[in-house]
Amino acid sequence: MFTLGTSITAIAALGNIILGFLVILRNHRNLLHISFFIFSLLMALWVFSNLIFSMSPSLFLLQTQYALGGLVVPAALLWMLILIYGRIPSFAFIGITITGFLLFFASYFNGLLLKNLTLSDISLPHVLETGPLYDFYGLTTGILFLIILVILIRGIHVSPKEKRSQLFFILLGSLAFGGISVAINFIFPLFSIVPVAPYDAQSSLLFVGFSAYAILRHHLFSARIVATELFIVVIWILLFAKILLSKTLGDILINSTIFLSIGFFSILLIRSSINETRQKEELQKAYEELKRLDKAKSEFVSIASHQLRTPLTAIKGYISMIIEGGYKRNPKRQKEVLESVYQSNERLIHLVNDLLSLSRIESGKIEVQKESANIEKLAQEVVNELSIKAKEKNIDLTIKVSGEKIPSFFLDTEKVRNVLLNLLDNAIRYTEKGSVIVKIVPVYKNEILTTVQMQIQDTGEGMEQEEIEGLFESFRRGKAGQQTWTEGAGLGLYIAKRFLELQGGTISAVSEGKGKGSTFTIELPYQTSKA
Amino acid sequence: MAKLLIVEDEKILAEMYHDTFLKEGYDVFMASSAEQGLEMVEKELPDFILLDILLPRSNGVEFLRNLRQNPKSLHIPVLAFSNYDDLKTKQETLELGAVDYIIKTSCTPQELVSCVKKHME
Repeated sequence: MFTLGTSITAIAALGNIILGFLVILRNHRNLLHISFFIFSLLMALWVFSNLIFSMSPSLFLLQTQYALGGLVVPAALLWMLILIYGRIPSFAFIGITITGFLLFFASYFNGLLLKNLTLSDISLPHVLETGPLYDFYGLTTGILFLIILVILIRGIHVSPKEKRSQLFFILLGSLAFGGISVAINFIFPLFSIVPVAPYDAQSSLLFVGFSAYAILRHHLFSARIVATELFIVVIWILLFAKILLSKTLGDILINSTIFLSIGFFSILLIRSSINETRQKEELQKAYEELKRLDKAKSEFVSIASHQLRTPLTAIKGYISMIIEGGYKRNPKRQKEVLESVYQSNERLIHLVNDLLSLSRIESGKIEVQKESANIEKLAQEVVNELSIKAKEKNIDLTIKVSGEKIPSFFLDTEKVRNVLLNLLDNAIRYTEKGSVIVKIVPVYKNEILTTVQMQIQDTGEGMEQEEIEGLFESFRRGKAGQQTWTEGAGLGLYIAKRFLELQGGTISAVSEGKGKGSTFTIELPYQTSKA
Repeated sequence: MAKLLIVEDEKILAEMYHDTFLKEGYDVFMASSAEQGLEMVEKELPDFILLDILLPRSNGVEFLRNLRQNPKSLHIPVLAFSNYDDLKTKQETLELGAVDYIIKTSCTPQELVSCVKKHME
């Protein structure tokens, strides 16, 4: 009958089933959820076979226990692989599954794994005679278990912080469960002892507990859904027990109908609860995104107005000084001052143009006007335009064409010129010494020219990886830009990206880090017609 | 002759304010970053500081914080002037003891001179 030990084993079996169902109900199409469900169900069956064996031991039940154990370990490995890597290579899946089934069938061959079981008095351990494949079984399950531990430990090292602690808890559970299982099933039988109580099966509760804690702690599903599901599972168990305890056929029918209808409606309840929580999560995410955008827009307005006001301050200030007669006696200085006013005005025009481009891009009013053009000539013109600026800073500005001469192709010349001008201007601004090189590279696919690449390499300030990630977004600028607050309002690269995308092109940036320079790469499709 | 330190990273504006205050008879010192400004304070101990807020690397608020931690420069009046019109930055600057926070575009260099004179009285 049920003792404290068998009750704990029964709870462990039930715990495995409940956890498996909780996970599969959450998302029955997700590979991770399906694999966990299969694993937890096999684990529950294994614990259940332990329970039956402890109540009425026999060789067949012990074989069943080993057979199911042979499936549980490979199933655990498959689940862990999906949890950590997201997928399993097909050769690994086939190999692990075949191993599981081999262990399963080998367990039932009389004399192969287990030869004989001598049952002893209830207070003494049973005596087990093992077969020739027993060591092989132990070795195989041991190796599989070691692989689980290795990938868990490796997963802890390579995963992001949140997943790391999740895997750590699963590792703790695996170690506790695995350690006890190895001791009970392989170390004790070496001394011909089979313990009366299935401590290994009971210890699966530790594994289930740690996994559940890991999953719940990391919000894989919300506490509200879990509470609903647990409540429903308790009702199911009670209703099922009521069917078992029914004395007449009428009672069985009534109780079964109640069980089935409540089962049906409770599944609907869980689903609606999951949907509601999911919608809430989505709304929350959208709200957070809106808040972030709103903050970014305010920041943008502050930065843009600062950038607009700076040249205006210079224009207003210098003109007021000229009107007040401050430079009357120094015509040379007055000319310099007027040049400063002119420069400030140019800067203002540039900024206003950027803001207008941004507004046209955002409202979708910008059009692509393609014409046949020579890319080398276009690049040379831009380089010539900026050569004085580069010379002033003592920076070597050159253009290099690799491979064959690129024939003219269709592109929006104005937009490409604008992008190049922007990138080269940035490269010169953020380079204190060294060079800025423009490389034009034709890219062939199956010997056909498909893409034209333009690389702008500088020996300037360089960027960290996190700066590069946000570089082409609107309302942001790299750290170097944030520090100097000179020209531009962080719009240039965003506009460049959008201008290129409009004609099927791309832009990307790489840098080895601070002080190591940057390379911006533009890719344009080689098109011989307007379309 | 009153010593005036101008911390301004925009070359074009720095020159403009330098010209103006020099003409008004001030002993003008220029700094283009917060770090350079702090070095200049240590060296020259100015009577008044005109401080831009958006500066390279460390900003004007950081400059003020450092200035107030040094007993030697604790008392120097600072007038913050910037085109960055942000309420939080303005509040922070005033809490750190700046005499005022002026938006550059709103006044001509001559008006700025009058403002500095008023605060130096």
